[in-house]
Amino acid sequence: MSVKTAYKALSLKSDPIFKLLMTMLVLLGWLASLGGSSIIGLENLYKEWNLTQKSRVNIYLLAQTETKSIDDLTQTLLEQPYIKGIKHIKDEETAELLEPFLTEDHKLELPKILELQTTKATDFEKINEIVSQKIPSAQVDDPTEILNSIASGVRFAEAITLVISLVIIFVISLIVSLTTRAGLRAQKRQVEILQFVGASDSFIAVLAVKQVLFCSLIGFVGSTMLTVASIHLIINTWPILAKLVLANVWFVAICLPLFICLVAVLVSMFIAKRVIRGN
Amino acid sequence: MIKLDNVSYRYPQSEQRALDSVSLELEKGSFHFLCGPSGAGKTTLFKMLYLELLPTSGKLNILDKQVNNISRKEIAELRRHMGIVFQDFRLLNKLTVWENVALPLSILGELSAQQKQAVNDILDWVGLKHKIHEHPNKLSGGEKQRVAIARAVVNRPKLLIADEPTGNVDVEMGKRIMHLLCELNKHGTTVLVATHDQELINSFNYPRLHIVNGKLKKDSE
Repeated sequence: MSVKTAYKALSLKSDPIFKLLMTMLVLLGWLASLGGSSIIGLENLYKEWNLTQKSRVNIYLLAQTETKSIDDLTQTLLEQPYIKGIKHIKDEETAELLEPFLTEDHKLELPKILELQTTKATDFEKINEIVSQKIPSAQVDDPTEILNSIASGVRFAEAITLVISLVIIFVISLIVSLTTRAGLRAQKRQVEILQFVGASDSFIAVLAVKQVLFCSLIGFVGSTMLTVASIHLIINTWPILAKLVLANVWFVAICLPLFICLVAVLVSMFIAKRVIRGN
Repeated sequence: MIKLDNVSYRYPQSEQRALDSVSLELEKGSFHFLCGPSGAGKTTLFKMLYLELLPTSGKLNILDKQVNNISRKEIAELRRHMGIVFQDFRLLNKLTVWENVALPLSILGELSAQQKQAVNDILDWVGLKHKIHEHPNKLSGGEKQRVAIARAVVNRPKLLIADEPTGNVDVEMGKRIMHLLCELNKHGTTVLVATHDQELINSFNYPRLHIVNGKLKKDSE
């Protein structure tokens, strides 16, 4: 007995609109959580790809390029701090690489390829400068342009997800606001009686907010469970994606519904105080 | 205890004053009847006493506190020292009789064993100990009014305001309710009862306040 009695006196949970709130919190929380985790997964994929691209630079040399010039170029490049090593691609490997583009009876001499293993701090401009000085006919495979365009694509996808997340949070705020308002207005008499026996506005608001918190926690648990199940389903269906599901994906999958829960509580506190004051 | 000094009240969008320069002083431990025809201003005066309305002019003191510019938090605190009995009972059907009576104590926190005993004692006093698990919608009018009285007095209020407490019950039950209020008054609670039941007023030898067209007159006037 005690505060429980007051809590029972102002029971908003029995209101059908609160059941709707709970369902919406589960569904929208799931949507936001899945969207957020997907974008983090995409970010992981992008980072991994970006690292691979940035850590490997190919230099294509004409077939007739002298070995002495190649050695000289190799030596100069190895002096650069961001170049960890240089691999001379064998002719068989080059042939294998070019096979799809050549006819069976080709008599072309195969180009020579140098594969540079680099660090994150790769200076493409410097590599280009060295290569053009040593062997002007050589071509450096500079991935900067494609890296930039992919980066823009990823940022765009992230921005879209952010906008969708904000829309979801706005919709949730609206639903919480409407349900709290409707719930308290439907219980106007109960609120009045509590006020007559000496309950303060804050006390009554806390009674209402606790019930929204209860709904939000159910929404949080429900949406998190749905997201976890969805991620597992995705991993089982496409095992290749498993390596992208890092700790940050799980973190977002849990934190987004928790954040929605927090938003719901704050909105309900604000609305409850306003409605009670106007009672 | 209660002091009204030239208090007037005008409802928004109304040209007439519902209360017109009312001056009144109720001493601690007194018992008064407030009588007058419907629409005379009884309810407005009551709403002012339990701080649902504040005067548009004049000074109002409730429980020795100037309340003209009182905050909502202070209103809640003052109401914890008041008991209010309404003609329409205003009980919560979702709660049992026991819970309805315990409501004023429950908003203050966890109920102590002493407070739980106080609820039981009050229900015993109003003769409803056997109905503690019932819900108000299963009770008769007289029983509901006794639950409302029990709820109003459970926190030992300094002031009890009862608006037509016998309005919805038969004559016998009306007298029984009045006896409960008298007994409460004997224990030091200031009681103000609004009623238009002349027979009931005549049965008890307490001072009367008459309100007509928003103006207050005492017995002697």
